[in-house]
Amino acid sequence: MSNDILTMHDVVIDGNGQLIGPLSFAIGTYAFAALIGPSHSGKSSIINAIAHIKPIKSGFLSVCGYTGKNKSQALKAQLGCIFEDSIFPYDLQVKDFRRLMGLIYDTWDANFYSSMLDTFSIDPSLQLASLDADAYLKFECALALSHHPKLLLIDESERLYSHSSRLELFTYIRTLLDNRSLAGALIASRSEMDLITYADQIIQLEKGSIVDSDEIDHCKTPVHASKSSKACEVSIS
Amino acid sequence: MKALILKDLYIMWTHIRWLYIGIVVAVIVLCMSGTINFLFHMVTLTVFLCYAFQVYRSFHYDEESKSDRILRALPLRLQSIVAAKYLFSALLLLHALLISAGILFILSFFIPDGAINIPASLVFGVSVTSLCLVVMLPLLFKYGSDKGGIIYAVLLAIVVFVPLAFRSLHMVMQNIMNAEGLLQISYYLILLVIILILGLISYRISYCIMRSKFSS
Repeated sequence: MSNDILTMHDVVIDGNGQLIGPLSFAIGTYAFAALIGPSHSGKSSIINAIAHIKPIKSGFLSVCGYTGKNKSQALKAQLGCIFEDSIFPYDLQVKDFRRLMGLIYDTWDANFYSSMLDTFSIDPSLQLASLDADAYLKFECALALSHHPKLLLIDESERLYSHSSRLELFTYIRTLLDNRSLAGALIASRSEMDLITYADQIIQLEKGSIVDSDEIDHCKTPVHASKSSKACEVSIS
Repeated sequence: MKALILKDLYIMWTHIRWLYIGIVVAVIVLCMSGTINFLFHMVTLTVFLCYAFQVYRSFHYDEESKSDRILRALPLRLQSIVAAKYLFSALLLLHALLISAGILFILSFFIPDGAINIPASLVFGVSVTSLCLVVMLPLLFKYGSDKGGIIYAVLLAIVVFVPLAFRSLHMVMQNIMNAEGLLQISYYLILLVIILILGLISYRISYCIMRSKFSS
């Protein structure tokens, strides 16, 4: 259990009136996991529970080693979040966040943020409103990772990011996990497209329950080196 | 908390020219309307309410961008999230006070004995706007910018347009201004303490509202 970045045991969540769970699963350290399911299957509620945005009703939840409610702030400092349905103040400039986030996170690395913007070719003087969807996702990625979180949470439950953006994002996450710069990543999505290539674990949800959990064996073919799902062996655990 | 205040200030800054244009237009209209008796009070109130509107706008902006989920994922205490809006409001009041004082100072050159009315008008503006804000903030936290804004507008109409309320407030201000020396300072201090107490009560209510929202 100590090797897991996330552990859920019999967790029940109130997802806007619909009870979700009991859920039990674990995500190992340096693993990339995906929660896949149709609309209203409870993906966003699970992400909210993991990020301590909404409390759980019952069960045991351990995220980055934190279990209690009272350590909520410390836990949140260990998380990086990319939420498709929420946007940052669109009148602000990309460079404004260099200062703003430094006031929120003790571990904020402004130089890392700047270097990520350079990597993604994002002009810091641009307003968020002027960024296209791809550039905005890259900006969010830079923002979510620049305080060096342990666990990255991505929620694209409502609307999928574009195919090219997803590939770029997943490749980047894979690199961070392989370099041990990130201890884990969890994405909630409606589609497993591309994820079968990049993720280590796919958890299928339906009506608030886990219906299937696949661990993808990438031993023979490194995930990030392969663009074809044919190269991956899928074994049901 | 600093980050949230700074965020709201940054957002306000991007639209500051519209705020100033609105104030200038309102002041010109008021000056041309010829109501010399209440001109200074009206000008001050207009400036303060323009600034109070920025508080409403910051809530509306947060809702529009659905930033509450992001906010709740950040390592910020709930107290900080609520207090940030109150401190932002206090900063705006302070800014409105400076801008109003400047406008009234300029107007006093054109209106005979106008300078005498400046302190009373400023106290009037601070008092009315503070009262509006202590009511408006919990409403905005509870109902959001749409419903909260409507309730706020109704309250504002009651305060500003009911002549009795306006006149009685004006009389209170005049009594304060007519008092001398220490008595006047005492009045100011009492008023400040009342505003602070109301602000703290309002903050507590807002905090409870947000706590129940966050835990549901």
